[in-house]
Amino acid sequence: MLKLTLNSLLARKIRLALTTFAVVLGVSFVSGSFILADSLRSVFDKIAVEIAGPDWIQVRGVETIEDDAFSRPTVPQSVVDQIRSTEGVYGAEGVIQGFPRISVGDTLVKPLGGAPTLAFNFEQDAEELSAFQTVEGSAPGNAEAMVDVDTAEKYDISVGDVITIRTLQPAEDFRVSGITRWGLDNGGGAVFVLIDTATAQRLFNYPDAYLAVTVAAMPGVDENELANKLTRELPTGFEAVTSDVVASEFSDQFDTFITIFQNALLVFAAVALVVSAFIINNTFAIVLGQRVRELGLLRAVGATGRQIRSSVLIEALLIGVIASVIGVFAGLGITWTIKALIDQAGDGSGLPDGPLVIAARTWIAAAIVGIGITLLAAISPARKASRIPPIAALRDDLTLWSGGGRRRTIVGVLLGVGGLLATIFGITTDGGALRQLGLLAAGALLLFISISLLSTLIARPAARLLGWPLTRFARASGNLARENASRNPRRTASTASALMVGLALVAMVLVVGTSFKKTFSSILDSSLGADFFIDTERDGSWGFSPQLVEEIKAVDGVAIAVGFRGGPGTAQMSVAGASKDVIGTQEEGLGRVLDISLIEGSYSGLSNDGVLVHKDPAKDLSLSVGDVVPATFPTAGVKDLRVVGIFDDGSILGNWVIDMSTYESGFDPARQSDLFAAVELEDGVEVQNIRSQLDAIAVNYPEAVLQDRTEYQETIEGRIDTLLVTVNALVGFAVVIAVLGIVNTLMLSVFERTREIGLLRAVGMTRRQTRRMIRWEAVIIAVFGGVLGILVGTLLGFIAVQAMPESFITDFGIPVGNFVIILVMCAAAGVLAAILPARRAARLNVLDAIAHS
Amino acid sequence: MDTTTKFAARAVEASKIYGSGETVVRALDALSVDLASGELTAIMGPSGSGKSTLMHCLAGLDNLTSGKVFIGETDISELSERALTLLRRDRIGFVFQAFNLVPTLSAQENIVLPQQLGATAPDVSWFERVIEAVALGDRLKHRPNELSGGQQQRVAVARALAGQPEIIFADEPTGNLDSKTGGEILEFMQKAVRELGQTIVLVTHDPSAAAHADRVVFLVDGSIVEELEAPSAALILDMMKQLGD
Repeated sequence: MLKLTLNSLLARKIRLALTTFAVVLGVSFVSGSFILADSLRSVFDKIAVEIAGPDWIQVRGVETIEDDAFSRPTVPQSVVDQIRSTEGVYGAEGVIQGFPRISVGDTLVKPLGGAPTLAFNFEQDAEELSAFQTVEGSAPGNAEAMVDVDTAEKYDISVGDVITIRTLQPAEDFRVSGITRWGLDNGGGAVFVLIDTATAQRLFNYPDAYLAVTVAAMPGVDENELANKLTRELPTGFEAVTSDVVASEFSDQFDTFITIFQNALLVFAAVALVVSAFIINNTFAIVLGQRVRELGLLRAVGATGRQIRSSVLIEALLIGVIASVIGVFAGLGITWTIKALIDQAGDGSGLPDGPLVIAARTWIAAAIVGIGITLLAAISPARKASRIPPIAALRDDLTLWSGGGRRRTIVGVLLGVGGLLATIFGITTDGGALRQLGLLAAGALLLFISISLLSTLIARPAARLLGWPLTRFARASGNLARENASRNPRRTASTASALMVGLALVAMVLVVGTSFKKTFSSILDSSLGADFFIDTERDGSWGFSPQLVEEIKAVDGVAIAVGFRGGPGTAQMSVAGASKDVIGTQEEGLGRVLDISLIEGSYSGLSNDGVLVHKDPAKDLSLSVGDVVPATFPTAGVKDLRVVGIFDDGSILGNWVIDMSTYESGFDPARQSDLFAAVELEDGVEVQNIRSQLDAIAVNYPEAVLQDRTEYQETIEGRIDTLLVTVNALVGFAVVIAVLGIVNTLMLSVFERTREIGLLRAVGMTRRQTRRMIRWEAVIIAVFGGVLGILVGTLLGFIAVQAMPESFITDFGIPVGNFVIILVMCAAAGVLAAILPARRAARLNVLDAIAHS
Repeated sequence: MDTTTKFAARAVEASKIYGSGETVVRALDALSVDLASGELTAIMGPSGSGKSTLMHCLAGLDNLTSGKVFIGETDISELSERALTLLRRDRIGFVFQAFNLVPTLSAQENIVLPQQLGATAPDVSWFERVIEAVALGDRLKHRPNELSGGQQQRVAVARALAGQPEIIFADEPTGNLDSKTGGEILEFMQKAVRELGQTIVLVTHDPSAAAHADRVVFLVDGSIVEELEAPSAALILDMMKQLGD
């Protein structure tokens, strides 16, 4: 039996190759995700160790708000002095770190990818305790700075040149005193600049204090003991930790991001695998259908149904194993290519250098996934094959596809309902992200299987409908194509369904994105009354100096200019034991440039340590206007805030709004940058007239982007579009696999119809007409898949939009234009998919074909 | 019949040779034959005699190693693959032993298939004559799998006739049918020749089928060895026995 299986596998090499290929693609995505993530982790682990320094101890403030690194108090000079005088300490250096903007002449220095621009303090005699090594020149004195070696090379900076550094303070010029290097390989893309301690403290608002202190132990002194000693002896609120603690903290931070990245890729890999499964299932079904007589013969000479089934499953197993192995290497290849491309694109390394890691986990995952998917997909065809009766060897008309129509429908409906419920439940439940994702994934999968089963019912009429225009202008080929597409609805539906999966996801993402844009558009119209908006480019972790807003206020014709600080991703305050995002702004802006739909109370009084609360947390904490709610801030400790108003719209400013003065006193001076600003002009003043004046001011703050209403809308829509493109590109991978599935099906179907094609050619169908016939059949199937995908995707998108919190999306939008493009591209994909099978069909030798059995 | 009988098809010194040296196989050995218009000609011979090969070459489905084939005045050995395809479509009709019909098309669609491929409008009155002759009236809308074997072959013959071809080639058309149904098909072919003026070339190994022909040509080892005018089945059987020795 095994030998027969192997023989039959090898006999149909093409089919083996195509089936294997589909699995390889899916597995390679999985393995690629893991390899990329593991490689990044290993590289960042190294970086983390470098950051932490060899055996140094770090002294820093203790977090006042749990798990909020932003809430550590700064370390005053007095503590540094105390450390220096502690026994066992060899040396201690205060560290200041900030995020500057560097320009050389008129050129803004931009780090690669998402890497930051960092400034540190650096003193000549402190070099021993610094991660920086001087490559050229000397340490910076007053009004001097050092630049890292890669940046110096890229921007052609030498010792003696002048660079401009901008922070929350206005720009200042610095003379380059030397070139430096961080660690071993300069940290992959980040830009470093070193200035003297006094300047650093001034620029980054650390008055006589430091972010942390690096401490070295005397030779022979154990780091752990020294760290514990320091923690005991230093004033409360400060701790000393060893370098491995620091390293693992960094590792954890990196790891969080890398894991998110990895999981996102795995989601797409899962999609690719689902599509592969559809294709494998389809392929096995078709091929077994062709082998009915042969299998009937085996049964007639004594093979049991179980043996037949095992044979099929073993075939699937072998394919799975081969595909998994190839898939891992393909994943390696993909990762290597991506890395090479990134390195090419940015001159200098975009990603930190390091070897590509293939962990054991990657092999195991690839094996489980590759073998598992193939076996799963082959189960149902194998079962059907085992039921072939021996009489099939003699009869010509027994097929594998017959029967069970009603059962399919019932199963399909049940799965569909189950899938919908799971999806809805997944979006509305709050059992944690993992559970949500799991339910969503399961729901979507069930839905896809359900649609692929149910689409059999509409495949015939759909093919007839879609093929109708072809009968008009392609006549004979078109008519034959239409008939071919409708003759086996199950096969047509099955092939189209593979395409449906990928396209449904694309359609869903497009629907959500369009709804997002529509929602934003209405927010802009209804709630944002300003004439100008200022926001930051995304390549930095801080905003722009509040100076900008001050300067704009002074312009004649400007009625209101307010800045906004804080929000998600910045320091938080703690209310009733939970950390909350909070935004600081000025009272006068609310209700004018921005409307957050006040329900109760008013905006006035905010500047008196007031707070505005969204209705949801207000309800949760039973707050009403006039209540006092204590909030813990990193620098101010506990403050009593008075609720001055409760509002309805949380989509613009989040749930908690305080006044700028409260924000300034509650948070680190280093964090006092504006992330957003809005400007309203006085009545009767024209936008164009003021624009040039405002531009003249904004040009000094290159990280701030001044936009009028139209420009702002375009910016936001552009950001959404970028995200959509990225998601769709990844899903597009699954679409490619599905198109390969169409090629697969067509090749097999051409083989199946050899005699028929021979007959057609004998009675006068030209080669060109033959190719057209195959081509139009492919187009019909592909467009059918596209229509299914769009319908399912719109449904999923609708569910997603309804389920999303109101603060996110309220309106529902359908991207009709994009859908039309999708259908056109489906048709094109069909044409593409048909090339190989059409060629095959046209090249058939007529005589051989007629005699084929 | 016309005294200036035209030849619907001719083979002139036609040879088809496979292999070379010691393993050479001469399927056709410098064979010459003229097939007159308006006649039902049968080509007979034991298996391996080359009768199917001759038909394939005459019909433009296969190439000669040497020699020429004419359909009417056209030397088809000079034609390109595409021209041959169009030749088959417009000027030749086919009936095969089995699998004559496209399963997804109705009987009617099968009958007009060559015209559909050629995007030419079928001659309606001719079409109706053919349909009437073939007696399929109420079965026209049915798919092949809804027709009996005999009905399917009748559809095939109707298709061969529908395009008003210069010549029709039939390869063992009754091979899969019982004797009664087969007999009906052959009688119908006779009718097509006598009443509709068609030319039909029949390849068969069955003497009772060949007995319907106006002329029977006997092939052995790629050459014509004998010809009989309107022989009876018994005569044909005798001849076959003789040639078999």
